[in-house]
Amino acid sequence: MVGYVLPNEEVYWGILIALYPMLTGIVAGSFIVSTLYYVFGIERFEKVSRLALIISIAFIVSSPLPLIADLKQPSRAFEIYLTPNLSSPMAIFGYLLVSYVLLMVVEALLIYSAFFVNKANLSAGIKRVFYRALALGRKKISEEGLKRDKRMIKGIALIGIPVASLFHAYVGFVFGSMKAGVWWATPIMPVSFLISAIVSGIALLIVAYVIAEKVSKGMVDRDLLNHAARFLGWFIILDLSFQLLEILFRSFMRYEEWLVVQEVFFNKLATSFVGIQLLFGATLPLLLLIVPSVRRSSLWVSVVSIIAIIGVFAYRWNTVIGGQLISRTAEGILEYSIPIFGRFGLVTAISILFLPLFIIMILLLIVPWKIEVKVKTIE
Amino acid sequence: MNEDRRNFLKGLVAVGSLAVFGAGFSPTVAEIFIPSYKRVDSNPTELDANRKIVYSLCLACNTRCGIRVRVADGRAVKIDGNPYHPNNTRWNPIPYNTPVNESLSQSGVLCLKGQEGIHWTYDPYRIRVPLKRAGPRGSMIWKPIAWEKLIEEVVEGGQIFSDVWEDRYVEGFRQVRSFDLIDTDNPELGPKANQVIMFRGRGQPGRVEFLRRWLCNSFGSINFIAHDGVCANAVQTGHKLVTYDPVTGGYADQMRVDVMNARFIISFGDIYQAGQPALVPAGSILPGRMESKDLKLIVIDPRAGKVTAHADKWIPIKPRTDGALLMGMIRWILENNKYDQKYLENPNQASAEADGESTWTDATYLVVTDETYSDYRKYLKSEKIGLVGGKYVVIDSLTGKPVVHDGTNKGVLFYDGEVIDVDGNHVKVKSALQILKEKAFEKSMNEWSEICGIPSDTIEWLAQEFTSYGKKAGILMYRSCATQYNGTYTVLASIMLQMLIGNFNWKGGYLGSASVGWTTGRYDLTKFSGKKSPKGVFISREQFAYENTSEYNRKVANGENPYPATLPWFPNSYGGLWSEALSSIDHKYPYPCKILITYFGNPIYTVPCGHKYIDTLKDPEKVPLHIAIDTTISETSMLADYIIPDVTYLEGSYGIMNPYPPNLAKWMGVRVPAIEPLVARTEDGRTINAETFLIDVSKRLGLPGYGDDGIDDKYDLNNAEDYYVRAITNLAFNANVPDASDEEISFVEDNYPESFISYAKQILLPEEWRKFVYVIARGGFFESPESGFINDQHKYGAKRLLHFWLEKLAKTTHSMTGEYFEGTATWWEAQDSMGNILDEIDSDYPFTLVSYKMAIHTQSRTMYEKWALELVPENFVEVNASDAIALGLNDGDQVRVESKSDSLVGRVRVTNLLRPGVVAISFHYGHWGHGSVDMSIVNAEEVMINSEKVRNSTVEADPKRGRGVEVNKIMRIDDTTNAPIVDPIAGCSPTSGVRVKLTKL
Repeated sequence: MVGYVLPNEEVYWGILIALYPMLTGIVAGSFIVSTLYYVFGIERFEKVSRLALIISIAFIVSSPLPLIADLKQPSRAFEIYLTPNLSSPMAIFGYLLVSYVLLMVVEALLIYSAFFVNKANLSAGIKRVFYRALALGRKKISEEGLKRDKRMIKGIALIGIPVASLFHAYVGFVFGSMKAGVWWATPIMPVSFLISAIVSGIALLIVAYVIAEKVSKGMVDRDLLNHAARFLGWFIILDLSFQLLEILFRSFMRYEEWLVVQEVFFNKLATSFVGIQLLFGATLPLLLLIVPSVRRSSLWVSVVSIIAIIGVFAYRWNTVIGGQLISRTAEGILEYSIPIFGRFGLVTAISILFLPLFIIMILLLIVPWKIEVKVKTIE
Repeated sequence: MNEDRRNFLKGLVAVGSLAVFGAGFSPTVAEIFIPSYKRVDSNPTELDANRKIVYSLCLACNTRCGIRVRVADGRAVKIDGNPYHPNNTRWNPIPYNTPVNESLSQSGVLCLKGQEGIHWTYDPYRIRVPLKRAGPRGSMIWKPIAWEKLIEEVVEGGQIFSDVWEDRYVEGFRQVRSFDLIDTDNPELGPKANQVIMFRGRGQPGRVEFLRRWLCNSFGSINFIAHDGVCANAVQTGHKLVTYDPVTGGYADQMRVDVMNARFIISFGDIYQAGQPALVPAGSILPGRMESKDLKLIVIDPRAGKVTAHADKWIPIKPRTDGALLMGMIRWILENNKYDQKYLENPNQASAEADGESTWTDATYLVVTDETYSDYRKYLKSEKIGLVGGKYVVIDSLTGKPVVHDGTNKGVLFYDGEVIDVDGNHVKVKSALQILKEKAFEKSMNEWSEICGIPSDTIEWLAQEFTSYGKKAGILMYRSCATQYNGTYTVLASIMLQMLIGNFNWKGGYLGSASVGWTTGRYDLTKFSGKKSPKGVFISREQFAYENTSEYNRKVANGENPYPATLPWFPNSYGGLWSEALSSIDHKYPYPCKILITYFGNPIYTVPCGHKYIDTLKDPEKVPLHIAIDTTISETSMLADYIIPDVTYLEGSYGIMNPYPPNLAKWMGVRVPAIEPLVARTEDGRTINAETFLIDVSKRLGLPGYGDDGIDDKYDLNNAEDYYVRAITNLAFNANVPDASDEEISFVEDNYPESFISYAKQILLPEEWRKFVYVIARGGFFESPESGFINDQHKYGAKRLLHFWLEKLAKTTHSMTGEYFEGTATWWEAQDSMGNILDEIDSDYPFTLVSYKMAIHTQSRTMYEKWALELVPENFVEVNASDAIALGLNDGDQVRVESKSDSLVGRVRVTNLLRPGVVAISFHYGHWGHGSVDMSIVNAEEVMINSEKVRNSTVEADPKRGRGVEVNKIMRIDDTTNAPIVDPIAGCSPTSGVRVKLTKL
């Protein structure tokens, strides 16, 4: 430890908490992408809209897990519901979670209702019951019904936008409102988090789309790719702008904590912060995305997206852990080494990532992410 | 890929990822169902040249908890508990021999008051330079005075107030220190030196011995008046009466129930939160015990204090009727034979030990109840009935005949009959327990219930429960029972109730203290040539019988009725009667005061109706010279002529002390400075504080025991450290501590204040230094709690006879009414000095007032607590909801609270945590000193510890410190003595029970 650090200070929020905003960010980001079609009606994005929703659902169910795992007594997580406290942003996450899951499930059921109806009609026995249940008992589809569904989907997705935004921005609020965390305390935090969340959402979606198309031996839609990539690029610009704005203000205003901020972020964490978060993880992808041929190549776009995801994760890491390396005295620096094993270790964090994968697989076993065939109605 | 293949792949991936997830996440799930409990150590403080840690002892209140002080750049920045000290660790400290480096990552709890110690040391109202008044007394105009000049003026006297246009001649210490009699007509009063009176406020072992040594043994005055009278001296009086051994002179001054192991505790009052042992040592043990459901806690209090949060039951008793409840319980226990018969039947030590008991009682001893007999109200003497002389007499259980008390193993408990003395007289006698029984049976259960306002079946239930846990039951009481008009008898009843179940010295029962001596050992701090033994009568008329005064004997010789005395006398009191001392000073009876020293105390604020004595202290006829030793200018020190700036406990105020009982083992906390003192220095570089003042007065006067060779005629006593460093060394050797390791030596040398350490090292021998360091590196000496019990008996429990019959008290006459006092626990109605029943003479005042302490404040001195004032900015007149409705009172309304003596106006708070008919007001607020008024101080910038409140020559008041009401204002003045009413035996000032009326404003 360097400088003057309070004796009870350590990095309390470790790798699990650094992982957490990554997951919620992907939820928010991929949901926003799905709304491009379902709310704003951009036809181009229709192909990935369902995939985006599936990813969103998989990640939102998994998102509380790093938090629960990080609690010394995990069952305390349910206190949020048993002893409600509306003045706690962390508790509000719990309420948003439930409402958001409900929203998304309803939206998914509506989106796939035609599919379920057909599948029910085409199946027998237990499968029929299963699909009939998912179709909410509906036996046939009509144009009227479909139109009504579309309107409902639009409505729900519209509500979903602020909920999704809030769902991720609250994390930014929690950090941004902490007076004692000199790196965290800024009103920009929720905005910055949300923007970078969307970056990670788009990026993951692009990668998922490319993989999904390749696996299903389909043709990657280059036009879609191009536009998704441009979308990604614009958000990276926004993301970088907010982050650089933050740094510009801090370095100019030179509050007394600037010295220790400088020491941590431009010296100790220079590789992670300047190197990965700003240069490799944001500037490089941006520069690459400027090139049109990059945008049309599924390989390149995937690579750029993966780099962008790494960049966003670095942002989460530097915010959560980097922010805690600055002592609350603003006069000292802490140390942190990631535990590998143990309840709060890297192994636990990585294992949590496998749950969304599992859920995506299960969901894809039930519903297709691509609907190519026209709906056939059977009386 | 065809669909099936794709699905298979998806399925495979799904299963695989679920497996990985499960493997990694299962420990978290396991934790939900099989939680693990781990003690997590914190990181120790990084220490360097500017970051230091010192172990010491708290003085934010008198609970005597340990502290660990963090000092950054010479400034105390944070105070935490000491993991070595049992108080801070729920009596489960880290082992005493834990290396100090390891202790730094362990923690100890500390309460708000302890945390706020920093706000006292850096209080902007602290003075650092000696002051002399620059205007009339109480005008709050001061100027700094050079140390040497101050010493000269107070020692030599003269026309020392000519600078404020007062011509009068003042006697200094030199003139007053004469061993001629004060009054040749009343020679028992003692020498003129007795006219130096010291009010000893918050004193603790350490400084108390130093102060007493100066006043009594060196200067030669008897008037070392502790503050116990405004504290709970009825507790000490009661315990001393019950436990006193005239042969050895030994006694217990207080005991407490073993909160760690008892199964049933009746707590009178809120002591586990706001008393001693309080929040940190004992209150913190309660939640764990309540959770494990092996303790039943009953709280008896007119007001539901914070401790009721942990209680099984709150019983809202009528104020000052706890004695009636206790007598009712005693009655039930005796009536239903629920007492420990085997224990009570033991008449001597041998039969007690045969039963495995370490105490025994006089339950079976015969007392003369024959009014005509010469030994009336005394124990029957064995020689009077022809038995071996010098012993007590009991009726042998087997033979039914009177025998000497050590002539049988079993006595008859309830005897009411006759014996025949050697001259053939029939003498009526009763056994001591029989007398208690008669007292308890004076009223029926319904009558006891009527008096205390508790249903009879509840009283019976309490008694039943109390006797259902063997010896693992007990009573916690302190001021709750003691600071009442009938404090002594209430305390006696609570002690005797416990004697009935024989829980003394048992694990889970009633336990006392344990300590290690430090006044002697390597160094004899008590011996010096020229040492005086104080003689005469205390100014407070304590510990001296009226019947031994010349005044009494003159009246009797003249055939006058000697009763009432001019003012009451308190021969059985444990002592420390500020209220009576003030009354004496006011009346100039039995003799006038010449010099008053108020040390770390605020009698004007703290004594009930104390403000009545403001004029007394202002009057130069009654108090010619007043010197205050204080840290801020309080309500009392504002009336002084000189103020000596004292150090706070973070800078000194050395102490070596055990905490309040129960002490499971020998636990001696030690206080040393954590930072360099902030007060000014003398010209030769010594810190100005209480000790330096007394030493320099002595040196100028050439008093014995101070200055060169002052200690044991061998060692110089020129500053505080000369005394206390040797005292701590005595402790270290008496406790047989090991030598400190080199690491611990470095720890102390690097962290503890340089001036203290270098001086200590200088005056100690190398082998002494190592043991001295061992102790101060840990904040004291602490045995492990387990070592305190052998077969469930308290190792340190004194083996002694406990008295149901208090012969000395029984033979004492009430100096105002001329009646004998009852010789055992009894119901004593609240009355004034002439025996007029308060409920009758104040019957037109419908409410009863109770006052209380808060856990976040200490008596009169904690207005410096910034955080406490944020939490509770002021105190209120608390009224029960149903009474409020009847009077039309709402929260925040102004109300006048009036007793027969005075009135105050305060704001109402309506509550359900109070018995109807009772009004509650807390202490601590309502100040008019201590930073709540402007002061004019010449060179204020130099005088105050910092200039935060200084504007030119004015030290500006902080209105936050003057809010609320001062409950002492409306306590009851006695109609005869014109002094506050006190308990007639202990002289304890009641802080609850005055009758008041409420008027909405």
